[in-house]
Amino acid sequence: MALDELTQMTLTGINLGLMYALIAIGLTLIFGIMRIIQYAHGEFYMLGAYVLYYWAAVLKLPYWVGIIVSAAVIFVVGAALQLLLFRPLHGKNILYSLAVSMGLIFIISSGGLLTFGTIVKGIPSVVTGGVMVFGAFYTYERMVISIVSAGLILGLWYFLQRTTTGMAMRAVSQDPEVSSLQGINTRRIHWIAFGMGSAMAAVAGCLMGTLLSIVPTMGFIATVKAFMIVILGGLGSVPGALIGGLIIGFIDSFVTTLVSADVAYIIGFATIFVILAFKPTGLFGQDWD
Amino acid sequence: MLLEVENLRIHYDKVEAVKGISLSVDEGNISTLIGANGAGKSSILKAISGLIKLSSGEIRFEGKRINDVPAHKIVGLGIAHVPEGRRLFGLMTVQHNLRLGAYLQRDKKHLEESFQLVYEHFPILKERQGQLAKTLSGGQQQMVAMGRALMARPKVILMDEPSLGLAPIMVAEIAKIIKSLKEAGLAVVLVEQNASLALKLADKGYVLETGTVALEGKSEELIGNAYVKKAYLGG
Repeated sequence: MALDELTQMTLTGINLGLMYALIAIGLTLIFGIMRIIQYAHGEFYMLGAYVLYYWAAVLKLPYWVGIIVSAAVIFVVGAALQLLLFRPLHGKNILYSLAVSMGLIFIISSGGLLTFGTIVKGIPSVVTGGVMVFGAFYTYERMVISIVSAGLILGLWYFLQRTTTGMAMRAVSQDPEVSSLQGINTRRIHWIAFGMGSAMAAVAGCLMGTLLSIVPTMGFIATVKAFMIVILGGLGSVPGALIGGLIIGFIDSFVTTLVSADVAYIIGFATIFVILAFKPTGLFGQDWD
Repeated sequence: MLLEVENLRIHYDKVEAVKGISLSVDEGNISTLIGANGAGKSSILKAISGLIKLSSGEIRFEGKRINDVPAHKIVGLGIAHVPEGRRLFGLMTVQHNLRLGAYLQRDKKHLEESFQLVYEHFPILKERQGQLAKTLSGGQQQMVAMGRALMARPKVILMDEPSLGLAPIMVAEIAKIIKSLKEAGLAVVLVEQNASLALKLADKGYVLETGTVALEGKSEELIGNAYVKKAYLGG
């Protein structure tokens, strides 16, 4: 294997891995705090990409502002859905919320096909050019996207570790009852977390949509990837989602380049099965009751 | 009267766990609820904190009815709860656990004072502030749980079985701290299975049996009571 090829695959691995991690961290945040399986998570990734598409490609408004707008819109949509659909089911059997999130997949993606059409669309790039790294061409666009993804992940980490609301989120994920004894309004934390998790998926959708292309059915694959990653890294664990994202990103990059995308899926799942056999809670997971 | 519970009834599904209990807690006093497992002690504390709904009765704090106040608004009134089994946020540091005890407090200076107050009561916690709570010993975890409650600067602390599972030397330490809290002007409602410890600390005691108050009175009277001696003090 030549050095340029190896460098290319590594850079792509990091690129993909960080974006996967962004989606997966949103999902793991929602699970950790609410203990619900949000199957429609990938739909917010898709919707986020379309918000940016309409903003930047149709209305021709500034790209970077569009990402913030997309995150804000999807935050509101996510928070509203939590309040309307998931709050009434809180504390009940997990199958109820599972049914709701399954339903949302079809409602949102079919609604997307009706509204946005079936034609593949693209979000125009705003960063051009690139640089040669060990014989591999690294576009500035991919570099910026990696930096933005990593920055957001770090930002979330800081938020969870250092701010009072972030601490409250971690507290609620560990013991909601005792959290309320400290004065934490757990219902408020729930919609904030759902909104934030969804917004992270939306930003990932924007970035991925810029690199590749967008279709209303793209959410499902993102959900599958996100679940692969959080199960691999450990449900509810933010570092787990980051490491898991990078592992799946590297497998996708290397195996797709060297063999094919189908084999990448097989190897991805095989890796998960092996890790689960040795550590059933995932790499950084804990036992959930 | 700081805290009053009147005719409290609590049901779990159809089972009546608390069957019409009344009690009162004076400012700066320690009141204890003693009794066997399942006597309804913890349920009473949880009802005061808003964690479980009462079927009937009334809970008043500083003369105001607080029956329907949601759990997250209770601590702001001045009632802190140290739950049974400590229930720390194990994956967070000692300092963050304490910080969350004062979750509603946004004033930096006030927060700093609260930390200082807690570290005065529990000097060891200052040394351990950066450590994950789950890595502490049982006694130190109990201190964090009590410190977390103290961070809210409450008027009354509800303590559920603080001595449970601790070594005798640690139990003595915890007892000393409870006394010092009283000296600092706090009221304490102490739920204990260790009746002799609880009655020694308390001003007033309630003996609970299957959801009712079997006996109540000043602690020294209860210590001298023949029935209490036989049933609870192993004499």
